[in-house]
Amino acid sequence: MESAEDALVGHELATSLGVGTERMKEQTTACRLRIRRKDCVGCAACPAVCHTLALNMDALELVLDESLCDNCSMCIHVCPVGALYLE
Amino acid sequence: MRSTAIEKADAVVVGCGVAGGLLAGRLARDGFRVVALEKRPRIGVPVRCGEAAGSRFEISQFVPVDESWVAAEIDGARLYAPDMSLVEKRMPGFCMMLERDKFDQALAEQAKSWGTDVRVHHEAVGLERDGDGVCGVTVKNHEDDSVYSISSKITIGADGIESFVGRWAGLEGHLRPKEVHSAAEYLLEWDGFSADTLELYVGNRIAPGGYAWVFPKGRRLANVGIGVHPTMTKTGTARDYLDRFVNERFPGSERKRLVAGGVSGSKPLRTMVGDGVLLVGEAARHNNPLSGGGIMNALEGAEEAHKVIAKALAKNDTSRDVLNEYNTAWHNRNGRSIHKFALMRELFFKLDDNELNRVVSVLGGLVRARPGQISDYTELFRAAFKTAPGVLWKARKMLW
Repeated sequence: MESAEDALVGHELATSLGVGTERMKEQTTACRLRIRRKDCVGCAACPAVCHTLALNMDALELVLDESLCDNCSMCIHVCPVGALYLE
Repeated sequence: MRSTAIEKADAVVVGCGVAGGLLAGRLARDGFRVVALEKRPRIGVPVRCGEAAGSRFEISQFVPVDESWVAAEIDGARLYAPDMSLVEKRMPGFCMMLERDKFDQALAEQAKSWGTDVRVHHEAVGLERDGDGVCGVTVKNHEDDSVYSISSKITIGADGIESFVGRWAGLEGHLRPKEVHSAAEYLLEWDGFSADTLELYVGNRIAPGGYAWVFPKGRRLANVGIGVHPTMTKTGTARDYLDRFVNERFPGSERKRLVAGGVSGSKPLRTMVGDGVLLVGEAARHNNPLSGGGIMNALEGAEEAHKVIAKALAKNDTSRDVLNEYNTAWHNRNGRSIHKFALMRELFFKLDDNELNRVVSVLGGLVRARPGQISDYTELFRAAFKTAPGVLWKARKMLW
């Protein structure tokens, strides 16, 4: 079975080659990234790893621009408090 | 609502934390017109930090020490191996625990007293461009939702790990998951912390790919946290690992505050400057990639940046070529050791618990053999990795 790290490396490779992102987007269109507000502490770990700039901190609150998000899930791996999930 | 009048400044500093606060103040002290933007409504709040910094003497080189932001002074450190064997080193006064919110506020007050225009709840939302270069920022005032522009000779990105200035300017990309640590920390109330000693715990059960820390603020209070490598965790988030650690190590303790965040573990940036733009602090990946510590590095980075920017503004030339001197100065001061720590971090991920036990045991011998302050931690760790049985092959990258 593919490990989480292999999956991440695969995704990075695909992104850096400029391929795969669209396909991944198609594969995951059924899912959307969601923020569990009661858990989010606004620590800004997720915007740092977001490769599409879909996540940002608006003063104190995390903001998600769904039109930019490709559901790559990097932010979910990094979130220290488990406040992000795919639905 | 967008205002049409364009303000002018010599320098705009985006982010009023440690690096931004010091740099904005120093430039204003030189007589330049400086605007410092902080998107949060209160400087330093909420805290996103373990709050351990350099010694009293080291910090006093940058800002007069005020007891209101000194939480404790630390005289030693203990490193626990996965089998709970430990190495301890006494180093009187080697480190201070800060009240980081008050510390950032003190730096901002110092900047204000020298004439910096500090604007809280004002967020940089974009860069103003002049060809390939940067000539200012677009700002959103969260108090009234207005948007305005500031034209500046130099724009300084001191906006932390998520640095949008660096990304807008094309100086850096997003951090990859393997370059970031996911960290969570409680301010813990418990009776019986070693008030003058930092504790660090390594091991793949406690903190896979990272470590747990206990940074005391007296006998009854401590910052207790864990940083984990996001691709190595198997059973939950950083907070889950922290909860388990706290329940086992400090049963019955009370959790007063939760702090979380990402910590950059990347190598230094290839360049921290562009035409009319410069990065400093964690935005420039100045923090130590192995320990995650960044307060002293941010202060030192701001000091180096200040020297170069002051010269560039005096010459009225903030082109990349002129600012490039900052790259060299930073590399010579801290960049080289950061690069070594980044290599050590990669090695650290590869070690299993048995190997970590052996490294800590060898480290204990080395520390006992070297009384007095340790001046170069990279050499110490390198020696331990080289000598610990069975680790040499994994450490070969660091020997070149």
